[in-house]
Amino acid sequence: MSGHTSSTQQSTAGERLLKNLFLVALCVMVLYPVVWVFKMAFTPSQGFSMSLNPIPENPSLANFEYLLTELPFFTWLFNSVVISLATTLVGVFLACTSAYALSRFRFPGRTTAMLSFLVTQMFPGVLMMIPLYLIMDWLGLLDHLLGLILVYSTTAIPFCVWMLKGYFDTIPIDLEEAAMMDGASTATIFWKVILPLSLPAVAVTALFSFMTAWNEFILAAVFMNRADNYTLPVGLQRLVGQFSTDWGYFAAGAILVSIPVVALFFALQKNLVGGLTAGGVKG
Amino acid sequence: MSGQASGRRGLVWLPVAALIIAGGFLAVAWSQGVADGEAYQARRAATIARGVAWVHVQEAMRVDDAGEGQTQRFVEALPEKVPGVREALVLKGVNYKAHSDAALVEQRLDVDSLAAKALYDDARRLKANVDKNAEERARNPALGYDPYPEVQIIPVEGGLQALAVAEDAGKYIGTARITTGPAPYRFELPWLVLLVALGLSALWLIVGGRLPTRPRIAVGVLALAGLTVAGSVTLPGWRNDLRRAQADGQAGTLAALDEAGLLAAQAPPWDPEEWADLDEDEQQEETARIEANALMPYLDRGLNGALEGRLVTIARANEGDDTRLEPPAGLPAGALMFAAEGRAVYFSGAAFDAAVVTDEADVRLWGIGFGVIGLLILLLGELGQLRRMGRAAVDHRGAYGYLSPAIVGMVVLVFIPVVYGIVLGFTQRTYNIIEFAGLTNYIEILTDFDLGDPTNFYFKLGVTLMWTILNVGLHVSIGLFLAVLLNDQMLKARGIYRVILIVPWAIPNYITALIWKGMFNKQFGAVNAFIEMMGGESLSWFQSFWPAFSTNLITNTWLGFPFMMVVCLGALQSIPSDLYEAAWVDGADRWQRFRRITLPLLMPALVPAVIVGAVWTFNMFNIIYLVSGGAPNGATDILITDAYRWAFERDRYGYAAAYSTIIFLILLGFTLITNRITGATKGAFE
Repeated sequence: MSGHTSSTQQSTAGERLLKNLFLVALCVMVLYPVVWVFKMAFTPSQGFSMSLNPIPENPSLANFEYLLTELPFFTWLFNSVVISLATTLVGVFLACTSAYALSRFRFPGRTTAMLSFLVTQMFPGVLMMIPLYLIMDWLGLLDHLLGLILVYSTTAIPFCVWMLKGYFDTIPIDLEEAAMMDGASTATIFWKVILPLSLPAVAVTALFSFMTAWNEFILAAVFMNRADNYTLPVGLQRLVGQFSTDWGYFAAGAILVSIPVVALFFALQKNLVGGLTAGGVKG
Repeated sequence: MSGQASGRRGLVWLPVAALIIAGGFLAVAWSQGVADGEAYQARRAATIARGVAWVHVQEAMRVDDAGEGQTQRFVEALPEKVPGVREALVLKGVNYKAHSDAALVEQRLDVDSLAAKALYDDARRLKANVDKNAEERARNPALGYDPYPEVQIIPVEGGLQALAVAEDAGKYIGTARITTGPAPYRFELPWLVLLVALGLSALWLIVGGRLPTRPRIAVGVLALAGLTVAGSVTLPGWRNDLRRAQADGQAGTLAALDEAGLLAAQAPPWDPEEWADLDEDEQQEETARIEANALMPYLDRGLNGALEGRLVTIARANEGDDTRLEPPAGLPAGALMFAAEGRAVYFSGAAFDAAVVTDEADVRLWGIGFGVIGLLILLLGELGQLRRMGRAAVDHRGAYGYLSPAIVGMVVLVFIPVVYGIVLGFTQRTYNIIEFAGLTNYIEILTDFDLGDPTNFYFKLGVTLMWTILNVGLHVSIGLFLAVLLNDQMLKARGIYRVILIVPWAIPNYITALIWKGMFNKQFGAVNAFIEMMGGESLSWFQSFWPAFSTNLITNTWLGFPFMMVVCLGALQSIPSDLYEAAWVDGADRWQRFRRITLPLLMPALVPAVIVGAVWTFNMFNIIYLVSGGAPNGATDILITDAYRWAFERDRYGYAAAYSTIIFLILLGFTLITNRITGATKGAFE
C-alpha cells in the first residue's frame, strides 16, 4: 500500500501492455455471464436465439413488467425484507451482548462457549436441516416467517460473535475503567461506551446477517411450502427449469434481487475479508 | 456450627431430586394419557364406521331379515347411545343413504359447502381404492391383504372423522362416516410415585442429617434408584382410565346395534342390563363375542384383510400418492398412527380390540431418564458442585446475563438440532415411528463397496474430494496469479480490474448457480453458442458425468477465485518492499523472489483462507443442487447434496442423519488436523 515503489516492482511498458490485455480479456470473461443475464432480462417473449451477442435484439421491459405485475414478486420481496431485517435485529443484538461478555469477562465456561460456537459451525447448515425441520414442525413454525427468522439469526450468531469479539478486544479497557470510576454500570458502559465505539464492526455484522438471510435458499425452500410464504430466492428458483420458458422472468428477478446485495457487498467488502479469515470456518 | 448448617442445607438435594423424578413421571403419565385417549378414539371411530358400513351392506344385500331401514335406525341411534359420536352418515354418490339427522336422508350433498366437497372427495378416493384392491387381488391371488386404504381417519376440528367403504365382494355400495368429539381421556395422577417421593423427602429431612455424608449419599442414591424403578415398572398401569370410556363406548355401540334390530338373532340375545352387571373383563369378552358374531362375517370377507399385524393402508393427502409400506417391526397389531399429512395409517388385525396401545419400553426410557437427572442432582448437590455452580452464576451474573440470550437461542436451534441429528443417525424412521437401530445406518453406509452405484458413500466421497481439491486448487492458483498481476503500482487501471474481478463474489451464489445453469442450457445457452462459433458440436452438458461435473466446477471456480484473490492481494501489499530490494541486490531472479519471499510471507494469510475455502467447498450445496442437480442420475452429487436427498427425497431421516454425522466428523477431523499443523486459530482464545 505504501506509496513509493521500488525499482524491483516496476514493470516495463511492454509487460504492462500484456498484463492489461490479459486482464481485459479476463474481465470480459468474468462479466459475460452478468451481461448475458441482462440480455435475457431485456429480451421479450422468453425466446432466445442461441447467440453470443450480448446486446438484446429488441430490448423491452416486458419481463420486468410481467414479474412485477403478474407474479407475486412483491409478496416474495416483502417476505425477504421482513425476514432479513428481523434476522439482522435479533442476530446483531444477540451477537453484541455475547461477544461483549466473551471479550470483557472471565468466567467459568468461557472457553467452552467459544469452542462450541466454533465447532457448531462445522455442522453444516444443510445437515442441521433434518433435525431443524423436525423441531420446527414440532414447534409449529414450519411455513412461518418467524421460523426462518429464528433459524437464520441463531445460525449467524457464531460468526458474528467471533467477528465482534475480535473488534471489542481491540477497544482499550482503560475507557471502561474510566467510565466505571465515574460510576457507570456495566449496562451503561456497554450501551454508551462500547457500542458507539464499535459501530463500524456492528455495521459489518449487521450487513453480514442481512446478506445471509437475503441470500439463503435451501432452508427457505424446505421450510416454506405455501407460495405466499416464499422468499425471493425460493420464488426465483421456482421460475427456472431445464426446459421451462421462464428464464426471462428469472433474469429480470435476478437483477432486481442482486442490485441491493451487490451494492452492500461493495460497501463492506474490505471489512468482510478480514472478518472472514479471522472468524474461522463457516459452512 | 457452620458445618452443621451446611449439612442441613445439603439435605434439600434428595427432596429436590425426588420431586423432579415424580414430576417427570407425572408429565409422562399425562402425555401418555393424551396419546392413548387419541388412539382409543381413532380406533373406536374406525370400528363404528366399519360397523355402519357393514350394516349398510347387510341391508343392501338383504343378507338377513332384519327389515328395511336398519342402517338408518342404527345411524340415528349412534349419537344418542355412544358417548362422543357427534354425527354418522352413509353416502352413495352425492346422496345421503342414511344420516343421524333424519331430515337429510336421501338428500343431496350441499354443493356449495367445502365440508361436503371434502366428504365427496374422500368417498371417491376410498371407492377408487376398492377397485384398485380388487385389481391387485385379481393380479396377485396370494396377496393376503388389501394394499389400498378402505378406512381413513382424519383429525378434524375438535375430534376425528372415520370413513369406511361399504362394499360387497368388490362391489361398491357406499361410504360410512363417523364424526366424533375430542378424545376422552381422564388423567390420573401417578399417586404412588408422588406419595413415595414426598414420604422419602420428609423422612430424609428428619433423619438424613444424622447420617455421615458418604453413607447418606449411598442411601440417597439407592432410594432414588428404587423410586425410579418402581415408577417405571408401574407407570403403564397408571395410564389414564380409558377402560370406563371403552366400556361406555362398547355398550353404546351394542345398544345402537340392538336398536337397529341387529342383535335380535344373537344367541343368547344381548341384554343391556345383564351386560352392565358384568365386571370389566367379562364385558370385554362378551363384547368381543358379540362383535365377532355380528360383524366378523363381513370382516372375514376382508374389508381390510383382517390379518395379523399387516399394514393395510396408508393414504396421503396428495392425490395419487398412495404408498405401500411394510409395517415396521415390533408394531403392535391394530396400531394406528398418523402419517405426515394428517391422514391415518391403519394397521388392522386387532381392529376390534380397543385395548390401549402404548409402547411401554418408551415409557420406561423416559422414567429412567428422569431418574438419571434426579441422581445427578443428588450427587452434584451433595458433593457441593451445584452450590459452586450456583455461586459462579451469582458471581459472574453480569457475564452470564449478557451471554444468556444467545446461548438460549443457540441451545434450542443449534445444539439441540446437532445432538438430535446425531441421535437420529442411530434410528430408523417410518412416518411417526422412530425406532432405535443401533449402528445399522453406519454399517450400511460404510460397508457398501458397490462403487458402480452413484449413491454409494465411497463413490460420493471420491467425487467430493475431487470436487474440493480441484476447486480449491483452481481458486488459489487463479487468485494468486491475479493478485501478483494486480500488485503492480504502475498498472493504472488496477482499481477497476479489482472491482470487476470481485463481482462474482458479490452476486448471491444461488443466482450465480442459476445463471450458469442457463449458460449451459443446450438450446439457448451461451456456452454452446461459443462452442458452435468455434466450429464444435453443441453438447448436452447434463447427460454424462464429466461434462456435468465440469459445469459445477466452472461455476464454482467463477464464483470462488475472487475470495482468494482478495486475500492474496491483501497479504501481498503488506510485504515490505525492502525485502524485494535486498533480494534484487543479491541477484535473485523473479522466480526466486516469488519462491523465497512472496510465497512464505503469503502463507499466514493463505493457509486459513485455504482451510475455510476447503470447508466451504466441501459443503457447497447450492452450486451442485442448482447447476447439475446431481445429473446424470445423482452421479455428480457430493456428500452433502446426497445427504439432503436421503432425507428429503428418499425419506430416510435416520440414514441421512448418520450420513451427516459422518460428514461432520470428516470436517471436524480435517479442521483439528490442519489447526494442529498450522495453529490457525492460535491466540483467538486469549
